[in-house]
Amino acid sequence: MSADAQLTRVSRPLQVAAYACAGLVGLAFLYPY
Amino acid sequence: MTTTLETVWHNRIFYLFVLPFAALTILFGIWPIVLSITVSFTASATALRPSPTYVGFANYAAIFADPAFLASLLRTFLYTAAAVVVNVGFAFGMAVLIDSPLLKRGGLLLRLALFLPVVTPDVAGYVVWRWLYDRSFGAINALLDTIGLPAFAGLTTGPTAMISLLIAELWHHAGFYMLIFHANLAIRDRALEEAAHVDGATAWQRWRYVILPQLKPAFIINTVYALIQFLKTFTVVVVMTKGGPNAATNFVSYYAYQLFDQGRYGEATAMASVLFLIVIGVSLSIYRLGDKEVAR
Repeated sequence: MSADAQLTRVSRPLQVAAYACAGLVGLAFLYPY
Repeated sequence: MTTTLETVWHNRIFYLFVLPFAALTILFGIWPIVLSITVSFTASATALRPSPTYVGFANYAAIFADPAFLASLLRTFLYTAAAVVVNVGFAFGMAVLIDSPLLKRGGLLLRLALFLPVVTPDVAGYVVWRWLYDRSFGAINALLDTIGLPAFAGLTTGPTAMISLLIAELWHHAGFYMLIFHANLAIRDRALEEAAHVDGATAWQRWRYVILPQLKPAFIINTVYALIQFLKTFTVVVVMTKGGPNAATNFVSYYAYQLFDQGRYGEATAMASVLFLIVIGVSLSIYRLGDKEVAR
């Protein structure tokens, strides 16, 4: 694995958590419209 | 030897282009500040007459003897401290999330969701937030009720009103700070991280010692800007609480506005001048601090 690929490697649970967080924040910020 | 006048004449095109903006700034920016400070030294009853009575620092003495003003000053500082930390922290977290490889898709959507409130007129946004917080008809309490949680008091009690204003302002302002952080993250030198990685730095070490130092400009700009923004908190109070409940959200700018409405021009402008001095002092000292840190 190249150094660059190792820098951008992500674990599955962390990615799921990131998407959940982004989704919740995105919805919360769009809701008042 | 060239005189100052000759230099000005030599650069006349430059001065011609600057003139409209300089004139507007002086007319609508500096002149009102000078007038306001002048009014703060006059007796309120005569403040608007052609020849007002000057009373020296009597207005300043009066406002600093007013417990309501001191309480409002303290409240403003507390709110500003909380709001700056929450806004800058949240914006930094979101910028990191958008920038990270964790979000392969959807980053653009999140960025759009965060930035839309910044371009939304603030009054319109705060009116909607007032509805959302409503005890009987608000969406927030409807949601809490549905999932069986206790109701959120919203704008009806002091501490929750502060939190409610903070959330509404976070919604309106955080996207801007996020954008600054994101821009700074995008221009950082990624070769340094690779080098650190090759040298065996852990992910935490790369963040702490390689990426964070490069984000110092964004942190300084955002902190100064947020400090100025939240020390002057006004619109959200006018729209959502009118300083209530029981003066719990009566910040300095709103208190000054109330006094001005009552015709107490001298005291109102004295308060505005005190706030002005605080804003200038705080922002200058943060800039100084930042410059020293960067120079070191």
